[in-house]
Amino acid sequence: MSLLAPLGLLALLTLPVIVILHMLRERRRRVIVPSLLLWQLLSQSHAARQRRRLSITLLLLLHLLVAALLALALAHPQWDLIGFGRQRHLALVIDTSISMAAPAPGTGGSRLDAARVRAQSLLGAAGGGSATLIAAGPQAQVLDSDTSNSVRLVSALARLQPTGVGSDVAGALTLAEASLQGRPNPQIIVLTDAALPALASELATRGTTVPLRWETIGGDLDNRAIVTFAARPASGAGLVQVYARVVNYGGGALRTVVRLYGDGTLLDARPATLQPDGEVELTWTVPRGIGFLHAELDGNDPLPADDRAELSLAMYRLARVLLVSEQPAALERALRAVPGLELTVVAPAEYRGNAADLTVFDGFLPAAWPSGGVLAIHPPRDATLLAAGPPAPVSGEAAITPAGAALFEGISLGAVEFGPATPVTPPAEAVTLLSRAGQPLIFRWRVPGSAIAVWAFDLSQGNLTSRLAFPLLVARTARDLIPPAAPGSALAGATLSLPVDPRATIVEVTAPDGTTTPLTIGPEGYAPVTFDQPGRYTLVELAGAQRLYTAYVGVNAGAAFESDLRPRPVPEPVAAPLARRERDKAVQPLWPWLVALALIVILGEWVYVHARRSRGFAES
Amino acid sequence: MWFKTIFRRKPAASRKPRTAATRSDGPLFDEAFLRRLERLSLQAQRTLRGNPSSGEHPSRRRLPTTVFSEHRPYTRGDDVRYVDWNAYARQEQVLVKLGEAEQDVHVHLLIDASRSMTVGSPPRLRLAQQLVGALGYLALAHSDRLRVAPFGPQVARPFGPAQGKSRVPEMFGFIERITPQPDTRVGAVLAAYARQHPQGGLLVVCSDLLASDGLEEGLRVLAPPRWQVLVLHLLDQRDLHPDMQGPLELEDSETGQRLAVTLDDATLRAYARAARQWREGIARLCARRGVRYAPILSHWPLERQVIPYLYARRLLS
Repeated sequence: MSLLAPLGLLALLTLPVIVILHMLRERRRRVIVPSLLLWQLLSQSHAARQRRRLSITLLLLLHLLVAALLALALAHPQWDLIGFGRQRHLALVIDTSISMAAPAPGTGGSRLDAARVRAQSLLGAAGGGSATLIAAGPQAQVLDSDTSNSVRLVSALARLQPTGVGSDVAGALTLAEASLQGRPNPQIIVLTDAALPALASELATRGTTVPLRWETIGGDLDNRAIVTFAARPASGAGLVQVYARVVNYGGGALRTVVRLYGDGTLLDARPATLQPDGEVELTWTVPRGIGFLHAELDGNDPLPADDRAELSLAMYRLARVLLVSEQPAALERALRAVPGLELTVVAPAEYRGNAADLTVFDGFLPAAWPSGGVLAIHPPRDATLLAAGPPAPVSGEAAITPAGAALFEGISLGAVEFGPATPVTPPAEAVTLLSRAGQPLIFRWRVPGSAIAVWAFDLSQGNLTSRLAFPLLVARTARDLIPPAAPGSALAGATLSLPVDPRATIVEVTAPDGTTTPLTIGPEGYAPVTFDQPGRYTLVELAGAQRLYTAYVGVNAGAAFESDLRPRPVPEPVAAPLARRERDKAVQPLWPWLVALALIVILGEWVYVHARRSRGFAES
Repeated sequence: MWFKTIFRRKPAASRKPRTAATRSDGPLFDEAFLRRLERLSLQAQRTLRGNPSSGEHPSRRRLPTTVFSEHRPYTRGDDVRYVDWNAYARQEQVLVKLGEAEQDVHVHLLIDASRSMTVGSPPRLRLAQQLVGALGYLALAHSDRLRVAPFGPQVARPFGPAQGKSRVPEMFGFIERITPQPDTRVGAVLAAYARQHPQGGLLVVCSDLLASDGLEEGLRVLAPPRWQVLVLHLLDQRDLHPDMQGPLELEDSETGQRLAVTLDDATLRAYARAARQWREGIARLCARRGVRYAPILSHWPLERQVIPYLYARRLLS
């Protein structure tokens, strides 16, 4: 209920006036007595006591009721019928970013524990309505949808864990709105510690069709974190330069020590002085041969997860390349320039199906596609693996298809003469990357166990090998057919689609807590992996029992917006905009009813007084 | 609500004197009661000065009589028939025999006819009329000189002086025609009445004594031995113990004055205590002034309770 004119409540001041009037002049039944002589003999103190006493009569109560009703009517009350008599449908968005692992002062638990308690309270207050539980981690996720089963909801709450850096609150709000679409009396409540990068800008101005309320969990905490940990090759001798940035998110200066470990061995311990709200940048040069680094900070702060950062130094994925060609000079030169490749050159006559990560056939094709990556250049007309097509014209400019834009980005083909095209017909599933006069020059596709690219032109008939575009095109094609190395590090909670060796049948991911999870490889040769925990992940690509590739990924929790545990303002609650017609129907003015009720009370009072008078006269 | 009383009929009828109702209650007495009453007489004191030519009340005077009481020396003019010759023979002194002389007395019956006497159930005025009628009948039946005077703020036209039973119907008619007066001034009325009748006599005041002026002023001038005063205090049971509760506005039946009270148990106890003290104060005043005081409740039946009560208190003999 709301009041349109709250000043009307000033009329309630008539209530004490009515009481005073009743005390001063109480209406009494008149009785004729022989004389007042005896009554005047009553003591003065007794009479005074009689005057001060207020007798609670029905008339007084009726007068007060009428005055209160009229005063309330003057305030123009409105009864909001939205939600009246209807069940409440609630969508709870709970921030599950890594900062929710910080302790919540006064609760004895973490911020996430406090959010769980608050969520249970809100679910209990929702009555018999339904509730949707959404975790706003790095990726928003619906934990339980549209249920009134409290056991399920509590169980889903118990499964919540801090999952990573960042909260996709915008996505979570979209999911919440979708789950409440068409539901009566909806409400979205966001429980967060407000350590969100987009709070002030995006979320505050985000429109919503559902009432939205923000509740802040946790308090003011100082924190230190390693927010950046990266490496790059140094010039010469295989040295690697390592960079770290340590930030103090607190109001006090701090002296600490940053320790750098290489493959578990302490490489350096460096003191650092952190000013209030200040940061320190540190660099190291580490020798070759070290595969994995991690840095530690003597944080002694409420969020230990961001006091450690990890990084893999495996920047390239080593691959064995087999070149099968009668004239391999140009290709061999280009392939040897590609880092991380181990090249073997054989003549077509010597090819026996040798195993390699990438096999390059020049003017030759075997009876079957070898496993792994395959680059077929100028396939012969009699090849059984590719159907021969009509002869292609020599004239015309080569055109890059949209699918080949990534391959040819930054490569100029203006002066390149490809010569006559080999008359082959690409398979139906092949994607053309470069064509000329409708005839495909470069195309690629995948078959089980193999990723195949075809250059349908003769390198010796054109001038491509003498152009700068040739080594670039060879290197990019080789990297396209051989999956790249896994990233050295990632933020906790990130989900990456890792390209997988085409021969791999399964990818196993071992988390820092030791749990191993098999990943499903998509048809395009990518495996999605989510790094939930900070620490070192191990990725293993397997082809049956054969281990094809092993990589390590350092997953870090430190981030500029996530490690700052100090409170930030949350957006104002948002009321759902209602259509004017619906709002007019939903809001019911109460003052006519109050006035009518007051008139009924006055009528009842009149009847009561009339009856009492009549009885009084009869008694007289 | 103020507009509630616009069309209300004023309760004037309830404030009218109830004389009509009083008259319509029938005759004051029946003949059988009067015959039974005739056996009684008013108890008059010897100190009263009356006329020895008639009457039946004893007197302090000693007159020459054949009934011996004492002697006194003969003086000129004495009737020689009352000379005690035997005493003269023994003492050689002429003595006259004296005896007790009976006399009639002046009986003044003052009846309060104020409006307060008409309030109550039964109204006190009815009992007062019956009492005054009975006492007047006794006075006339025993050859006393009777005056009946109703009073309010002052004494109204009285009945009498009358003597002899032949005046009884006239007296009853007078009593039944008594008209209520607007208010009462007992003290002033008694004082004025005493000045008008200096010979004194037996004065019976029949009143509720609900008057603001002092009763003591009147009783002071009605001092014995000239006056023998009898106060018959007519009380209503509801005056002593009101059966009312709650917030009330009391209206004085005589003055119209109003008083707002809220009656609860404590107030009623205080009122009863004040009424008892008021009544005891009147009794003490009467005792101090030599006045005989008899409180009578208005609901007492006259023959069965009031007359025996007066007889027991030696107001009648």
